[in-house]
Amino acid sequence: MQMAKFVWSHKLVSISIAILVLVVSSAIFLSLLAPFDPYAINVKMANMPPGTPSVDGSGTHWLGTDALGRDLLSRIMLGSRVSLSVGVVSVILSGTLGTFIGLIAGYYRGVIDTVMMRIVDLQMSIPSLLAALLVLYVLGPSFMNVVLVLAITRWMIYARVTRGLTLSLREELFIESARALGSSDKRIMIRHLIPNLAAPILVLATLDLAIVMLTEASLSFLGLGIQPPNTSWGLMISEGREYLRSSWWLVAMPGFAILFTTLSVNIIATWFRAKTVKSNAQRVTIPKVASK
Amino acid sequence: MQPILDVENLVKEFPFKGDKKNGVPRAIDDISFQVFEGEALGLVGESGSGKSTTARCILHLLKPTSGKVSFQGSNVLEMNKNELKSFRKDAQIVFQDPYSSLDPRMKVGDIIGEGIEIHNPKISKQELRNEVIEMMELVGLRPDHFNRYPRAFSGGERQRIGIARALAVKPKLLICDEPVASLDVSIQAQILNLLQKMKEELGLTILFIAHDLATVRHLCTRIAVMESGKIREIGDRSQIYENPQHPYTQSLIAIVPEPDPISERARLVERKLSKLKEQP
Ligand SMILES: Nc1ncnc2c1ncn2[C@@H]1O[C@H](COP(=O)(O)OP(=O)(O)OP(=O)(O)O)[C@@H](O)[C@H]1O
Ligand SMILES: [Mg+2]
Repeated sequence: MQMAKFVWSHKLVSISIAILVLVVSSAIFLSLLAPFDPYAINVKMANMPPGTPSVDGSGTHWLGTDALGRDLLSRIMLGSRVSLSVGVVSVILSGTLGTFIGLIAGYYRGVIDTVMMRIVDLQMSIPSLLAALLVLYVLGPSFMNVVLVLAITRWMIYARVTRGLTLSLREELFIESARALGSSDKRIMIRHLIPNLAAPILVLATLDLAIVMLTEASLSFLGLGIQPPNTSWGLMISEGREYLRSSWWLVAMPGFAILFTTLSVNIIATWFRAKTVKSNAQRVTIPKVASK
Repeated sequence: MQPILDVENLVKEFPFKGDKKNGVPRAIDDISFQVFEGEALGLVGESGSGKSTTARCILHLLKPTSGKVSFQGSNVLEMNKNELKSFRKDAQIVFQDPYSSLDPRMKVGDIIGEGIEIHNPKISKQELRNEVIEMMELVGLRPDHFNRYPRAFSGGERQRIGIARALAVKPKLLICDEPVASLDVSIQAQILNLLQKMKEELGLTILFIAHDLATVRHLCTRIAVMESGKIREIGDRSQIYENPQHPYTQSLIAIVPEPDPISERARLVERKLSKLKEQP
């Protein structure tokens, strides 16, 4: 009953959650959910349009087939594995690193802060896709390298936001209370600062997840990301490009997958942010009573 | 009698860039006073007179520009990490603002238990819980509030949480920084009675900060009057009320509302009698 109410009042958010659940579960339970074997090649069935029945009549290629006659839907489900795991792992890495650095800089200020923020500024001035391209060109493309490169090009955002939040949080009276009780710096950071930073950082991470997934798609599209026979949505678009005129679905379907997934992630992040801002606003502060 | 707290020539300047010509403004300008074991000393002054800054310097939450703070004979400002930690078990503070002084992401039980956990990290969960509940009952909070977040509480309840948090570590000295300034009059009385009770039952020494004399009247036996960073006058309650020396104290007396006309008359009579006595 309560769920029905939530769905009704948050239609867009509910649809987004449903899409994400679908994407995530197809990545995890690929072998159970995929209608066909994503690696099964059948050259006779190459580049069939969406809705073509399969050769043995056991099913339908709802999204068509690719140049090697593999079922496109199953391929997209396979691609979601890489796209999601690259995104999630690199967001966790960059988020942890950036939050840690921002926390230290904002809490201790002084020289540490100046040095760290200079590095952030420096790296912010280099477009992250360009940096990723260069590094991957030198290191060579592989799953791990893509993850690391994406993490290293994105940590500054977390560092900057965390530092800003920490600078204002550290002046709060409850932090001073903790110090008055005898808390160590470590305790203050773990028990008070991080829990208060969690919500905004989580929102940031969700928004960043969408960006990272797009970047991975671009890298794979350019041939510097995931390598065949493994696949990701970006790589699928790249491979389908050759047949764009005759078989539009090869590009369009993985494109939709990227679009809807990142859009859903964005919508959920925005909703979550609005929700946390509201609960913070309820913290009204009574103005000081001035004496006459 | 040995003072539990001895403040000597305390100065705090908040320097800001530029404007060096006029000298740095002093939030606290060379103050000295003592607090004796088991007493309640009132520190009264208008907004901006430096009361909170004094409290922060005493607890070494702020580093004073110069001066000395001794707690039970040892210099607070020269303590090492461990000494400072055990000092913070002995001297506690209830902050002015009951809203921003509680971590919004922590449950009330954890807030009150934090100090106990810091000073006794090996305590078992059950024991900790028992001690916290004992504190909650002591200050008049319901034990079933244990798992609630601070935003679910009113200002008066929050101030009780702040008091419970400070008392949980069993301090010898409690600094109360205008703990009732933002509360309703009836709630003010409740909190003041609570502090009076704690003082009697636990033998607590209290430094009570307020911006008017009415608040400290019942709780504090001695009163220090502060104005623009200086202590203008310090003395027994009766002396401050009946025979204020400094014009600033007199102006503070003038704005004390008299809730009880009978005691007001009694005071007038008393004052006249004492004047008669002074005359030969
Ligand atoms: N961190 C700070 N930086 C600069 N100036 C400060 C700082 N803290 C306090 N001051 C200044 O020191 C003076 C005394 O402030 P303090 O907070 O001690 O006053 P108070 O007596 O507690 O007043 P109130 O009754 O309003 O709480 C004020 O002029 C204030 O502007
Ligand atoms: Mg104050």
